Amino acid sequence: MTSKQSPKVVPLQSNVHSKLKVRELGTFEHVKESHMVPVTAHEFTRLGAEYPIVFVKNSETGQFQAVALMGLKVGENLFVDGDKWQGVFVPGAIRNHPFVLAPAGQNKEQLMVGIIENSPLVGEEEGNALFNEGGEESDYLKAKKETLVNFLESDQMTKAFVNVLVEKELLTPQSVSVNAGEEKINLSGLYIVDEKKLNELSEEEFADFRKRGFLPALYAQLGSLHQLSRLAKLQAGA
Amino acid sequence: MDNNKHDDAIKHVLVVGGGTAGWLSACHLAKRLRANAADGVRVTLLESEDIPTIGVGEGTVPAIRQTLQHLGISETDFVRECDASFKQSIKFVDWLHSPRGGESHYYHHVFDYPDNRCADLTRFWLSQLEKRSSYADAVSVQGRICDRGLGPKDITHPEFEGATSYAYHLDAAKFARLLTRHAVEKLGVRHLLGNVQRARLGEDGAIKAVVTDRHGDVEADLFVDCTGFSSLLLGQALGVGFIDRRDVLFADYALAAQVPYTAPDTPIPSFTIATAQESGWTWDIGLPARRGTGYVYSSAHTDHARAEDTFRHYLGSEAERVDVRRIPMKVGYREQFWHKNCVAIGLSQGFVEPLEATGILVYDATARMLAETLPARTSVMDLVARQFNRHVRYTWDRVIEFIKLHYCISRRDDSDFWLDNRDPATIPEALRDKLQLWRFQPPTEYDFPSKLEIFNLPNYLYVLYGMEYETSLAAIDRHLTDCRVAETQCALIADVSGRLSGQLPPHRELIEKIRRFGLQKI
Repeated sequence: MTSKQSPKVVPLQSNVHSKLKVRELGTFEHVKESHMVPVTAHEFTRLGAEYPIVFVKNSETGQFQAVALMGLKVGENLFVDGDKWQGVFVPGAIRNHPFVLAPAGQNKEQLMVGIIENSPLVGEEEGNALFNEGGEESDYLKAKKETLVNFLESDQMTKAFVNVLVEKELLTPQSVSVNAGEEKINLSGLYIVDEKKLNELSEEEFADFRKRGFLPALYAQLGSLHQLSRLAKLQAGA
Repeated sequence: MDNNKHDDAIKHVLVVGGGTAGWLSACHLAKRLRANAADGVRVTLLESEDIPTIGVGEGTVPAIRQTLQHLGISETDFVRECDASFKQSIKFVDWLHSPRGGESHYYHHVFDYPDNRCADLTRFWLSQLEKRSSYADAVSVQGRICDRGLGPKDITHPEFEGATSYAYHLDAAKFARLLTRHAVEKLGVRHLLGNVQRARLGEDGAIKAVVTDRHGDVEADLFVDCTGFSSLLLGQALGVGFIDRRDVLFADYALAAQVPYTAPDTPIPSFTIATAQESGWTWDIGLPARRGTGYVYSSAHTDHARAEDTFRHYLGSEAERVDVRRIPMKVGYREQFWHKNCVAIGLSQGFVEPLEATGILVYDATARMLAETLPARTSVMDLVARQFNRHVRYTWDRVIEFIKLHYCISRRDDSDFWLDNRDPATIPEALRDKLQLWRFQPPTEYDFPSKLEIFNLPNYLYVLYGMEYETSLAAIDRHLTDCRVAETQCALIADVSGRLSGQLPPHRELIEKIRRFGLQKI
C-alpha cells in the first residue's frame, strides 16, 4: 500500500478470496505516516515504557480516542525505519494489518472480518493461505480472527473506560511543547489524565476504580508522558 | 427569639403556570432551595392543561448557556430535545433606511465582544471615514462567520464552549418539556395538573392559598405568578396595576407562522434575521426542522389585513399555505413585581417586542434573582421585595431604552411609524441624553454603571455603529488610539476569521453531528 492510495477494505469471502495469501508483517509501510496510533487500555502499561500515551478527539465525531504518539509532527512516524520497527512493543492496531473488523452493511451492531485488498502483504503468490482447498478457513485465518475479536473486546472496554473518565471529568487538555534539538514543536488537542482530580476522588470512587482495574492504566498514562523526551531525541536525530 | 412561637420560615413555594417562565422559575428555585433534599424548601408547579402557552419565544442570548450549565442540563440533550440551533447574532436588515432600488442595508449585532485588547478599535474605526469595513467586521470575526453560514463551534469543542460566543434558537414548547422533566426528575419539583379558580387571601392581604379544581386549596408561603399576560395572582388577585409603555414602543400585535423548509438540507442561518417593515419588523429564525417567523407591528399605524399582507409578502410564495396566528401584546410591566408573598415572572411581569430576545432573557435573570435573594423567613420578605422591585424595574426600563434605540436612530421615512418613532417626546429622557452625548464621543463603560445591566457597552456599540450613528471625534480622541497598533489588530481579526472559516463546519452539519455523536463534557 502506498501512501497515495487509500486502503481498500473489502469483506472477506471464501468464494472470492479462496486463493488469497497474506505475508507475515515484515514491513511497517502502512503506518509510516501515522504520528499517532489507536491503542487499548490493556496495552497502556507496556506502551508506557516506550511511547507517550494521550487522548485525542476524533475530528469527525468529537469522540475521545486513546492513542500512542509515534511522532511529533503530522505524517511522521519516528519508529518506522525502513522495514524495521525501532521499538520493542508494537501496538495491536498495527499488528492486525491487513485485517480489519468493519461494520457489516447497514447493521452497525454486526461486524465482519475485512481485508485491505490493496495492501502489499496481500497477494496470491506467497504467504499464509486464508482458505484451504475445500474453501474452509485455514488455521492461520482462524487464529487471526481470534486475535481480531480479542482486540475488538479490548477496544470496546477501552471506550467504556474513556467514557468513565469523561463522565467524571478526569481528562484535561494539555498543550505540549517539546524541544527537539534546535526545533521547538508545539502539540495541541491532546488530553491527559487530570492527576489533581484523580487524587481528589472519594474513597468509594477510588475503590471502584481499583476493582474495575482502571488504576494501572491511569498511572501508566501519566508516567508515559516522560516518553515525550524520547520522541524529542528521535526527532532531533531524524 | 423564640423560633417555635413565630415559625415564619419559608417552607413551600408554589409556581403557578407551566410555560417557559414557570419551569425556568421552578428549576432555579428548586436548585437553590434544594427541593430534593429532606431539609430543603418544597417547590411545586401547578400547570393548567386547558390554557395553551404562547410558545413563540424562540430566541435566547448567551447567558442561557450559563443557566443550562448551572441547572445541570447537558448541551447535547438540549440540542437534541429542543430542536435547537445556534445563534451568533441578530442580523438587522433595512433598519437604517428602506431598501432603495433593491439595495438593502444590513448589520450584525454579534455576541462576541469587540476585541479591544490592544487598541480602542471603536475610536480607530470612527476615525477611518473612508473605505472602512462594517463596524462589526472591524472589531470581531463573528459577522463573517455568520455570513459564511458557519456554526460557532466544532464537534470537538466541549459542551457550552465555542470558537465564538453563542446562544440558541429553540422550540419553546419542547424547551418547556425538557425543563419539566429536569425539574421533576433531577431537581425535586412536584408537578400538579389543574386550574386555579381563585386565590384565597389572608387578613394581611397576602395570598394564603390558591383554590384549584383538582387539588382543592393549595397553600404555600410564596406564590410565583407565571400565568402569562393574564397575571392571575399578582394582577388579578392582588390588584397590582400594569404600566403600559406603548408611548415608547408602538408595536402591540404579532403575527406568527411556522414555515417548513423546501428541502431537508436547506442551510440554517446561525443568526436571527430581523427585517424592518413599514409598520414594524419581521423575525425569521431557523430551527433544524422548520423556520419560526413573525411580524411585529403597531396597530395604530396599520390595520390587521394590511399587516398580514406585509407579512405574507415577506414570506413569499413558498409559504402561501401556512397558517398565520395573531397575538395581541401587552407592552409594559407591572407597577410592582413582588407584592406581599407573590412574585411575577414571565409575561405576567412584563413584556416588550422580542427584537433583542429579551423574553427568556429577562425571565431567566429575574427567576435567578428571585431564587438567590429569597429570604429564609417571611418577616424580612418586604425588604427583599423592595430591592427586587427596584432591580426589575431598572432592568425593564433599560431594556425598553435599548429597543427604542433601534428605532430612533433609523433614517427610514417611508411611513408614520418610523417618523413617529423619532419624535423626541416618545424617547425616554435617559436615552435622549445619551444619544446627545454620543454625538461627540463614543459610549464608554461609564455609561453602563450597574452590575446588573442586561445590555452593555458592546451591545450599544454594535447597534449604534451598525446603524452608522455619527459620532464626531474631537481632535483629542484621535490621539487616544495608536493607529498603527489598531490597524494591525484589525488585520489580525480579518486573518483569524479567514482561518476560522476553514475550521468551522456549516451550521446544519454541526447540528446533525451533535445529534448523532453528542458533544463531550470536556
